[in-house]
Amino acid sequence: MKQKKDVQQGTLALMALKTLDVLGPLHGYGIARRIEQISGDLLSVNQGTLYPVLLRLEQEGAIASEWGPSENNRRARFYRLTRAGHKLLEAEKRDWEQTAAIIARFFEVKAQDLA
Amino acid sequence: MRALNRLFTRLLNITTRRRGDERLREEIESHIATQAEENIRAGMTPEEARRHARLKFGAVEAVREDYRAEEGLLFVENLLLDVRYALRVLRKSPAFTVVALLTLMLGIGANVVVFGVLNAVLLQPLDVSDPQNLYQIRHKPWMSGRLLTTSYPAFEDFRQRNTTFSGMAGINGYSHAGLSWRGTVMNVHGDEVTGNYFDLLGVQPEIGRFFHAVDEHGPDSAPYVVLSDALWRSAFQADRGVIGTTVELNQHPFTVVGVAPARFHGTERFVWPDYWMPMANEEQVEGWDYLHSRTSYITVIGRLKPGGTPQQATENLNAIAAELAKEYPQTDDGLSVRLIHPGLWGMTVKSFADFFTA
Repeated sequence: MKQKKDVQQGTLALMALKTLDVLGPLHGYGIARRIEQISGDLLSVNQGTLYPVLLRLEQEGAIASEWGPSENNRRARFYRLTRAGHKLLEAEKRDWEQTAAIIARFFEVKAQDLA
Repeated sequence: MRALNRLFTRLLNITTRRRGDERLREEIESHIATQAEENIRAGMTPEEARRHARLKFGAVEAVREDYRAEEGLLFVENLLLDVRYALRVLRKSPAFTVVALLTLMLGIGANVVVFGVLNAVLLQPLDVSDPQNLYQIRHKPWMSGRLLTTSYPAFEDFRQRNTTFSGMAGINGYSHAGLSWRGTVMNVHGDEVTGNYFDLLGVQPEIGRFFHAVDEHGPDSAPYVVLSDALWRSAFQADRGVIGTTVELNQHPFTVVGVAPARFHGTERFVWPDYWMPMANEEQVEGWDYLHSRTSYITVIGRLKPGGTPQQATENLNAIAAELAKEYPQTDDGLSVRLIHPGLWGMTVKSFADFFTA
């Protein structure tokens, strides 16, 4: 059985930002579910760990939140991306792509390429 | 910028004691309930559904702790708690508190005083032009008891025979007089100096002029007095008209020629003379003078010739001292001398240490 991976905080923050970018305002549960679905259940978040991350993002001004009724008529806190959040997401995305590209190149390298 | 924002929000949270506990509790509740409903739809019993929802959420307490850590500044909050605890304990043992406070106060106070003295004595140069090559003659064993080295006649001998100084001046810093002006008399103290004193130091008057070597033509020939800025302000109400008027020092008339700048107070650190007057007129004020005695001593300062070293000058002076000891065996002891920067400034740390351990 594949070991489910822990999600590092930074990665989690990025996922939350991207989720809000794609789906618009969402409550914590919605974000957690969405991250689970997209990561193919490989990343099963200890869902609660999402909330400190959301708080941090909110304090940084990347997201904002307010109370609202959820789809099952419960009071839930809805999070949405701010303009600063959009910028942050773009920057983080570029960083990630760059890092991923570099790592990918390292894995492609064969011994004879280095000779 | 982000970090700054966050810090600011957190500080605000601490100071306003705004707490997200309630919000987090509600969010957790809502989250678990929603998850449970979904589990029920997936076919679990309500009880099972809730249990699974909680498991999936993870350790609530750990989340709450992380949340709090994000919310405030844990370090600062803990520090505040510690401080508050310390204050409580101190209040419970007042005797200890008082002793500790006194110890700290005395310790800090003593350090402030010592630093203040060191700063004034060692670190600040005298407020004269080019203090680097201004020297005062002292005896070699510094604590031998005699601060002054030279009688006025010996000073004249040194001044004429030396080859290393561009100029030398004599000071009697122990001058006292009753100063009378417009019917009031006050006791003042000051310096009696040779006529070249101000020119040697390179000081400019605040108002009026200073006296010079050319003003002196033998005893009692130069009845001039220079006032300190402090005396001018306190006794003469900073009246510019005082220049050129006559005051009396011990009943002898002296013309006020000028006022020294406020920052200038002679060549001693801890002495603020009220006036300066020519040594030539000393007899009028003191009733006697130093000018002819080889056993009354004055302070001697000198300015090295450009390019000269204090070592050369010291050797030069000691050679002259030896000559004088031969010429005046009764009075001149020929004790070797050394040069220091006047006002104690520039004494080496070693001699300062000597001062305290002597």
